[in-house]
Amino acid sequence: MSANFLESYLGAFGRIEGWFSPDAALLFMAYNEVLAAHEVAGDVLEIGVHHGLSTVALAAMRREGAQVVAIDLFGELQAKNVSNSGSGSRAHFVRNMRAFFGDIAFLQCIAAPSNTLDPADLGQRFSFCHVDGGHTARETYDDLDLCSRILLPGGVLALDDYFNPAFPGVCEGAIKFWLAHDGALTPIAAGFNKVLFQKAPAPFDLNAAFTRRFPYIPHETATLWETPIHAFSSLVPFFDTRTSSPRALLPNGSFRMDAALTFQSGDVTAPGGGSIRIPVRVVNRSTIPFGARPGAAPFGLSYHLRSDDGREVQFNNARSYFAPPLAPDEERIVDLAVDVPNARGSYTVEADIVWEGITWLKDRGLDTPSLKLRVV
Amino acid sequence: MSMAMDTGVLRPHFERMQALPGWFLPDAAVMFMAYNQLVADRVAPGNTLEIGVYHGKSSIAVASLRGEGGLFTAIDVFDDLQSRDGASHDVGLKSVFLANMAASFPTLDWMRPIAAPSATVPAEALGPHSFCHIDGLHSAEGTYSDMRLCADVVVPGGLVALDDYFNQRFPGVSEGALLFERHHPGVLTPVAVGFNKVLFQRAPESDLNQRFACEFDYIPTHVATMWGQPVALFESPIVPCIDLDRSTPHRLVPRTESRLLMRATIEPGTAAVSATPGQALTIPVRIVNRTTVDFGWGIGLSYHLFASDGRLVRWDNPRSHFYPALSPGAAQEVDLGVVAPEAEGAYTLELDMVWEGIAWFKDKGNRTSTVTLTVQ
Repeated sequence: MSANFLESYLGAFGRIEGWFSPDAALLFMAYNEVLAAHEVAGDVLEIGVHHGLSTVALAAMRREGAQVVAIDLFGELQAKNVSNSGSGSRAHFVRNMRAFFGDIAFLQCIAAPSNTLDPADLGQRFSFCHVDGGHTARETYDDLDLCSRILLPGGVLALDDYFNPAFPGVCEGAIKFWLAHDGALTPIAAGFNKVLFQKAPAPFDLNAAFTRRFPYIPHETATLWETPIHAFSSLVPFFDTRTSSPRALLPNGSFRMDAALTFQSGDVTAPGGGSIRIPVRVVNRSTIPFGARPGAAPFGLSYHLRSDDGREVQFNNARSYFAPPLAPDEERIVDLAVDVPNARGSYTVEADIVWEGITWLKDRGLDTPSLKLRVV
Repeated sequence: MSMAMDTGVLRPHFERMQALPGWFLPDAAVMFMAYNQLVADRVAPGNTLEIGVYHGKSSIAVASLRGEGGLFTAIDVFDDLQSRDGASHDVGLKSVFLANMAASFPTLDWMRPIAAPSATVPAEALGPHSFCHIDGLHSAEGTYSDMRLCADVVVPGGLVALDDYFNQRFPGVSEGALLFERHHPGVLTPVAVGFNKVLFQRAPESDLNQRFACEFDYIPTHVATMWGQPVALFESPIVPCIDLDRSTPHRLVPRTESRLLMRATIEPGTAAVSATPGQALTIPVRIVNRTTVDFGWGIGLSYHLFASDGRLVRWDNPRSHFYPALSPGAAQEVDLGVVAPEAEGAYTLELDMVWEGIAWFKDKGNRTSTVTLTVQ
């Protein structure tokens, strides 16, 4: 594998057809790296490979000498594609795999509906399975059942489209699997159209190990199947994709998240209740744009409200999102929408920028300006 | 029958909703109104209910769906119970909500705000409702409880809308809903999915979506399967389909064809390209939006592939979208992604715009452009 393999691979997105994102690829690689560090390193398997966009990631992150098993209806069995969940091309798939790996002797292609495969034939030898095949409830249930049987204990299963409204069957099938096999798979993480599960019994706490290995990756906590999971909104900016490899991700040392905020008015007075708008000059001093792109975590201008004695009244308040995006080093006047408290008195409005689901910039060292709000 | 807000058309209400903070899309409001209009043929609009109102962004729409003499009930913990530490901070949420509602309607004598957790509100205290919107607690337990409450109060044939079923930050919503279905099978049946909402009907009409397709044949929908039922899937914005100056919440009026002219200027940056078999390439294309709507998600640039003898090779090809959305009259350069065919030879790419679920611009009389592709 070439030194700049990861950079080349991420550069191929948009040229290889498929609904897979660079963030999802890095999510797979990061968790796989944690698995490998705990010696959970078997073969990898994908159900629904299409043109191979995600298979390249799986193949690149597998341990030396491991096999890749690719299961798909390909073009020849599309009559059995009951959920119209993609129509892959074996020629495109093989060509794309060859383009990245040259010799693809490690690859085993199985052209068959996944629910016709016997777990015993595949063997319990896999450390990572990616389920992106049929999207009906039944197909999802069957694929989870299959993969939960062939994963090594502690191995990871990634499920596609759990939260995609175009395919409600995925969520249904997964929840039915949970109710029927409680404890077989433990939810671990969600992000970038994927949900990750770990095969039980797990020999170690995967998310604790993830946080130790990648302390610089921000995440929220959500609850899935009554289990706390890591919920991710962005990964690409936090890794140095030029120096990283699919099996060894390195932090992006040049990543910077900062801004300059300046209130464009002095202290304000307003009657209780209702909303007011206070203009704020925002300069983006980050290395990434403040955007509000659909499907990505948006940036918004917001504020924290404190009473006169410094007590926090409300930390989380209304947002004004950056649309269009504010590019690095650009500036703009943004109207900060402030809800005026009912109770009379003096308050402090502290402006801040939130990257939804990831962080407040104040927590990353942003110098936050404040003004007094007098409620009469 | 006179209806709430029937004295006014939608545009000012939509403009007011747009100005308020919250995660409610105007397209969701149109979806609510369309289905409410449909069921009104068989279920007289009565009381409406919303659980979780925040600043009232969606309440404006839900309140407008009530019938003559009907009440709008707003259940929210509002200020006193909002804080996690149990202290009373009174940041003004209730007063902001009331002020926003007062600014939207001439009187509020039909509104019944209930400051309490919804789980503590007995169904008997609410009475029958024709439309309910659940946007409160997003846990599995909270969702289950709210669905049970709404199933108890909604009349047969009435509608229940559920927020965030497909939101990865709140996996509990789908879990709670599916547990409700498991314990109360068939009580609420999904009928539509779109704009972060799932719409259910109590004791459903078997032909509701057929009637939708007839009554609203100008609104594009797809079909998905949820809980074993076919549901209408909304994947494109639908506000542009509606004449906001002539519609009311109880009677939607389509925009006239003349105002929905599908026109764009398509100017490829090159007249000819060459590629190897299967190669992915991009072609820069300048697009000028000559319609009256934004080119956002759901409207994209694509191409039709023809052999040198004019024979169609592939009509439907990948789309390239606009970011940021392209406003009417504005121009943007888009990289059109093209995958070369496997067979060598000369081809013609006919560049076309598509409005997903509605039409190709070419079919509506828009001029396309061509690029010659040589595969060798």
